[in-house]
Amino acid sequence: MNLIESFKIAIASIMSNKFRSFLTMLGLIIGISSVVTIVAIGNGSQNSIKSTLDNLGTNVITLQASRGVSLSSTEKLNISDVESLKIKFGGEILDVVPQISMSATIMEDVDDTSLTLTSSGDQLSSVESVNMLYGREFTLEDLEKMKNNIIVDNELAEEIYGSLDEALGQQLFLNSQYSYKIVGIYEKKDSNSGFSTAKGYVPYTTLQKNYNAGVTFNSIKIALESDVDPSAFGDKAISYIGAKKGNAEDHKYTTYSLEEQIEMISSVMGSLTLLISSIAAISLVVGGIGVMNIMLVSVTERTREIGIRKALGAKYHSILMQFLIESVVVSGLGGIIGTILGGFLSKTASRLMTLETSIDVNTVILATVFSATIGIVFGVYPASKAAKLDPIEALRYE
Amino acid sequence: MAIIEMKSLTKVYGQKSLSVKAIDDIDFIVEENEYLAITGPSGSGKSSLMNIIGCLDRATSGTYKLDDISIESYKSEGLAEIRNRKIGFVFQSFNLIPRMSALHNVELPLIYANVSSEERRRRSEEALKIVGLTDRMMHKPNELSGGQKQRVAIARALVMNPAVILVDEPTGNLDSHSTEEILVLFRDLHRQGKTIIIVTHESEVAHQTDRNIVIRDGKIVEDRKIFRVEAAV
Repeated sequence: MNLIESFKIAIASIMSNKFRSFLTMLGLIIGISSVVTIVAIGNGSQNSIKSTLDNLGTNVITLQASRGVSLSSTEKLNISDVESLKIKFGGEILDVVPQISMSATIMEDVDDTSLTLTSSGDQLSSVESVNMLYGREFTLEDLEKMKNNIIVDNELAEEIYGSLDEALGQQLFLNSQYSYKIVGIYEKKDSNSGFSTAKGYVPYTTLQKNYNAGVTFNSIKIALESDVDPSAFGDKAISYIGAKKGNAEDHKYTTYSLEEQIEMISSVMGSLTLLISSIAAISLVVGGIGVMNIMLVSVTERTREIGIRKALGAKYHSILMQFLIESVVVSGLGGIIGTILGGFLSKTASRLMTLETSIDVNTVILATVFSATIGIVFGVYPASKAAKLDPIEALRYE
Repeated sequence: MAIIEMKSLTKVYGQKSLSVKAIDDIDFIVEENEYLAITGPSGSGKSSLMNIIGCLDRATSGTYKLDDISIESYKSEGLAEIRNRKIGFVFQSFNLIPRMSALHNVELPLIYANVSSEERRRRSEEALKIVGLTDRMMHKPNELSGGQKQRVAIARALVMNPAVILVDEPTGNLDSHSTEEILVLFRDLHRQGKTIIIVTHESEVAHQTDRNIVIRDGKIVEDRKIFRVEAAV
């Protein structure tokens, strides 16, 4: 008997017991749809983290103290380190900016008055990967003269002044203390988390002067020319700073690039998705046991039919294939329905929770193949039990 | 030509002290186009003999040739193929698969013989025509009367054009009218050249055949030809 005939017989038998076949599939439908949904959400989150980090520019490294190392006051990074890095590696770097970040309060009538002030050099668009819409970036003069200038995002500018045109050149009062002249407006990117405070860039020299924040810094951002390898440069920068501070042997400094961060976050997200999927996969095993159980019932119920078929010439493998295909079809169909349901659930989740989800072809193929495999694994025993039946005994079965 | 040839055939169930001899050193020959009945009381060994003739079971010792094939050298897979090609079974309880139409039930042996679907349909329709069920081909067993079910079973037995049609208590589940019809059908098939063996405990059925073999305690105690005078029309 050929495979097509076995397939037809299996389908006919599934169709003759529709409700039971559906209940048998249900375990797998639930299992597969959970796995597909979780993987889709996991992939989506991973992609969104990646794209957020990509927006920050990848050829930027951060120099800071190694983990667990406490630096003495002379070892801490300071403005002279920033200047000497600029001089030493002039050809390879675009800019070196000490990292200063502080929150300020906007003294205007806006919904959210909090503003994060972030240090900037004269290469804002390269270092932070921002897109300037209006006005200009900071100049060397802004930095040298420690001017109270600020670059704000377009949403904030429009909220306060109505238009970008109006906003440019206005004085923005912060903390009833300082006023900053708006010299540029950049495009605020959509945040994937759906929530972010406004961010304004101020020359780092100005931040240092106004808030006395710049005596020493926890970290320094170095934007590299596009052809410079970030990890090789990182090593050079570490040994240079180590030598300058006289502690080169102690490995007190480290650098990390956004690329490394992206990889790390991706791997954490990947492991998390794998972990949750494994838990969901347990339900697939439970579903498989359900398939086996029903197949065993089905074999017992059809003992006489098996006897008839054997009397009429069915061989061991014909009966084996009939029941195995039946179990694979039930499981495979459960897998397909589960995948479709998973796709639907992840779409719904993405709509309800403003999450990005992504189902890739591999997930779909894997889910279907895996469920069909469950059909084989859990169908083999009942099928071989059927195929081994003695025709005389089977024909006598009432 | 001998279709069935059994020599010193013995079937023993169980082992050693617990063993039971169901068939005890039987010899017999069935020629082509014979119409015979094997009878005997229950426990006589006629079912065991039928299972061996039908290649559902193998003898413990002795030789059995079916259509010139020595059966004892075959294992279960080979026996399945012999059943498929050489034996047409008709069972007491019809043994049709309930969810399949009459036509599909008749097609079953052809499926296991790897016959193409067009050919299967053609041959099954032909077999159903022979038993007079052309108008009931698409009916499922539960939509047919007892007599009609038995006709479907006979069509299924005929469809592979086997060497022997082996019939187990064909009228056990039928009323007298259907019994009559089925026996007429067997007589017709015999006239067309089929070899038919009926296993029964009903002497009226046995008397309709041309040869009666009576079994008791696993031995053949009687083997006689029945001479009938065909009624003049």
